Amino acid sequence: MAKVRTIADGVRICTVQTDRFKSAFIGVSMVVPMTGNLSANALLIKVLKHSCKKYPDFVKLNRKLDELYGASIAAGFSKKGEAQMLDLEISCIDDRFALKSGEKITAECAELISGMLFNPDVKKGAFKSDIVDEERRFLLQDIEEEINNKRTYAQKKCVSIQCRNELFGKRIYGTKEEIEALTPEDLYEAWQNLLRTATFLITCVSSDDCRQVERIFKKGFSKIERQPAEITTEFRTRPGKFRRVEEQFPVNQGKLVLGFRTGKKNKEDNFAAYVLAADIFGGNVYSKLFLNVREKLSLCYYCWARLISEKGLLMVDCGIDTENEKKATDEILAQLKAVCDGDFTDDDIKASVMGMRERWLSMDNPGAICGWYSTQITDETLCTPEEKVALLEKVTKKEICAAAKHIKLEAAYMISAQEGEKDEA
Amino acid sequence: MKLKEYRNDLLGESVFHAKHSSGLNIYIMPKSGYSTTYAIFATEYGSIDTSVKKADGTFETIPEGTAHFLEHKLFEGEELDAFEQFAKTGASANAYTSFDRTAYLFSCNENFEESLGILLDFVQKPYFTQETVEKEQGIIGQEIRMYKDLADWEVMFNLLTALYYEHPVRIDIAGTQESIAKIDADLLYDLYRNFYNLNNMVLCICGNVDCEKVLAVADKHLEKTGGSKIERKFVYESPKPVKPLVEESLSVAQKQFLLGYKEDRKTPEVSLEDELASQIMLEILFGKTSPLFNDLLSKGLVDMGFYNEFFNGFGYACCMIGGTSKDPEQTAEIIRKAVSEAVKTGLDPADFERAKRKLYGSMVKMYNDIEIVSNHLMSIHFGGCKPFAELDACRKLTLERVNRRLRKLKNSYSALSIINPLSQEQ
Repeated sequence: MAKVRTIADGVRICTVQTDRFKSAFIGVSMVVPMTGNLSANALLIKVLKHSCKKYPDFVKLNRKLDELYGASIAAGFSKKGEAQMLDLEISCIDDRFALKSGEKITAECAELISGMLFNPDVKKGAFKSDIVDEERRFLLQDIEEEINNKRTYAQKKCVSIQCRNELFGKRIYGTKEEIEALTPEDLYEAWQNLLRTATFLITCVSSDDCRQVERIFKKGFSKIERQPAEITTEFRTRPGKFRRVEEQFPVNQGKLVLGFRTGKKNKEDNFAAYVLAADIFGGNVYSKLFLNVREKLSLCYYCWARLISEKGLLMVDCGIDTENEKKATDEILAQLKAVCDGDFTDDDIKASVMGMRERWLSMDNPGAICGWYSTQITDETLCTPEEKVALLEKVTKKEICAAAKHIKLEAAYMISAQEGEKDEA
Repeated sequence: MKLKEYRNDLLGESVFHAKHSSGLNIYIMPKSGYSTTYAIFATEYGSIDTSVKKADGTFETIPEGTAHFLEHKLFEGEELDAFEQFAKTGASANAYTSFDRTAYLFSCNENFEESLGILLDFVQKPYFTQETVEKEQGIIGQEIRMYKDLADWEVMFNLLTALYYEHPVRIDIAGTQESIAKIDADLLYDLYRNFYNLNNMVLCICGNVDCEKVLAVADKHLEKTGGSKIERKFVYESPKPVKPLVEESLSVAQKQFLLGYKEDRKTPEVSLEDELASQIMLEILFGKTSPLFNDLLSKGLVDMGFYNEFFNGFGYACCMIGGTSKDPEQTAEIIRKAVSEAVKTGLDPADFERAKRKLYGSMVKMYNDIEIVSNHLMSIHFGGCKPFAELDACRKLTLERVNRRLRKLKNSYSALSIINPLSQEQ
């Protein structure tokens, strides 16, 4: 079972001791308000992952990782409501499977990741400029390449159209121009700021009691004067004026994304009823969107609805032939109306609860367990999957319909195929 | 039915194997402390099966994309489709088709036996009509179009068409809009009868599972079929590529490339030892700590997405190296040079040890994941090996063997695939 302790102001560590797994996992999650320097933080997390004082270049660090039986490090950023979430994580084989007895792989990995966070290769108030430049190049390239995957590109685009006057509508890495303008000193400042003001959740799954990991991080934070920033998100309960944007690309398949406002007042508001309404609408293969837009009308290969509880949005996306946009939109809205009207059975609710239960309880690996808890970083208490499932089990049909009735279309984004250019398929 | 136990003391794990009276091979790996179970039921029938062996021993050609089409259609049922049935047990079900297999799977936290019964039943009871086959053509048509826009997918299939003359690995897994238009219900039933006999299939289960319970469900739901393991057609093809360069323009931001080295295969399959040796060889030459990668990185020619893969199956094997690059031709030139250099000098023993350690680590980690383990057991079975064979093979790997694999790389057997950005009006 997960144990949660506070090791500094706004810093919690959540540990799970189990010998079920062959590997161990340590994750460091951080959130800061999206009002801060998004681009500096985004680049910073990449620079922190690149190397540290002890292993100051990429090859040395990666050789060390190889020696630790291929331990792997990952870093990323994402939105958590209107907070910027940064993650740094390491995964390694458990000590029990080392080829030589007495090798302390997990502890070494904990030292490594804490070294990246607390002891990066900095000098005189700045990171090394060659490392910053290299990571900047990668980040800018990642951003430029967002267009390669039209599906995820369209999803992000729809959110930015829908929330154009809200913080949530910003790109999580800021803008290209901001990234280009960042200096090694800016990153140093962002790093200091992050250690001081971010809310932290450290997660660890290992066969030992994780005390060593805890000690390592406690020591790291002991030198820092903490002033955690408050994390809030604006919820708009009523939809703004509907807006549709279309872009043309030379593609084979069109992509349609519909953005809805759910009417949620905050992320906890009617949590379970919204989860089930979204799932019955379009969360799974038993859902209305799959059965009707795909199976009945053969309009698409995929059509899913995704609830963003932390901001009170719901997004539907599908890949269709450009000329079918209206047909697909009409059908998606008709299926939403069906959920509002209670056009589903108690068996459908049961299937949905079981489906969600399945999704949330299937956590038989260390990374998934850490991920489950780290997504709750902004919550006061961390819930187990069983506790969240229990919330779903109490929901009535009336509550699901009531939640669905608040879900209103607010934006549409369409990638349409440029005619005659790419149609040899 | 007798269960044979394969024990691995290092991992502290066992795999149990049974040959069911119906002809089906069953592998079970119970994982103590796990709440989830994953089951996969697969036939050795994939996109490379574009011909069927007839009674007179000759092979008859069939349209491209039948295995994938059939995968879609098996979910349909006379009363309830498979998804509707799984909705009642809560299991999360899916299926996939690859080059050499079609697999049906589910994972669940509860009602395992019931879900396993559904899995075995729906795969054994095809039910579809000409009307529903035609409707599926629309859905699969959209799937094909979706993949046509994905550069990662296109860069690989274009490479395969540049490397292979005849081998069906060169065709898209789902076939083409034209080839699936040729598929009808009768053909699918014929192919079903041929490829879905239990002797050509395997069931692999990993997680919170009890062997006896699996066998009881198997006894109840498996119906003995005739037939035997299906023989594939092997045609030797020259290691020379069809063309050295293939390019396509897509709506992407930067150029992407994939360089492939075709292997001269006199026999259809690569041994497990050679497969691992090739992986290690690729890691040493092109991994994150290699001088080559860091040279390309410092020249600004590649980024962290630089990757390599040893890609093999029945009758095909190649080493692939790819990523995003502002200058794929120059990058390929540098790689080719490094390859011929390495072939001359051989690999460094310290690099070999480190890469081997990393490979061992990845194998150990794999046993966490019930999905990966189930799929792995299936691959091991289809590959004619025994459970845990890979750990043993890894331990026995020598630098000499890796160098032998290295010497198979010949620049004259290589081809380069490039995806160029298409100018787009926005």
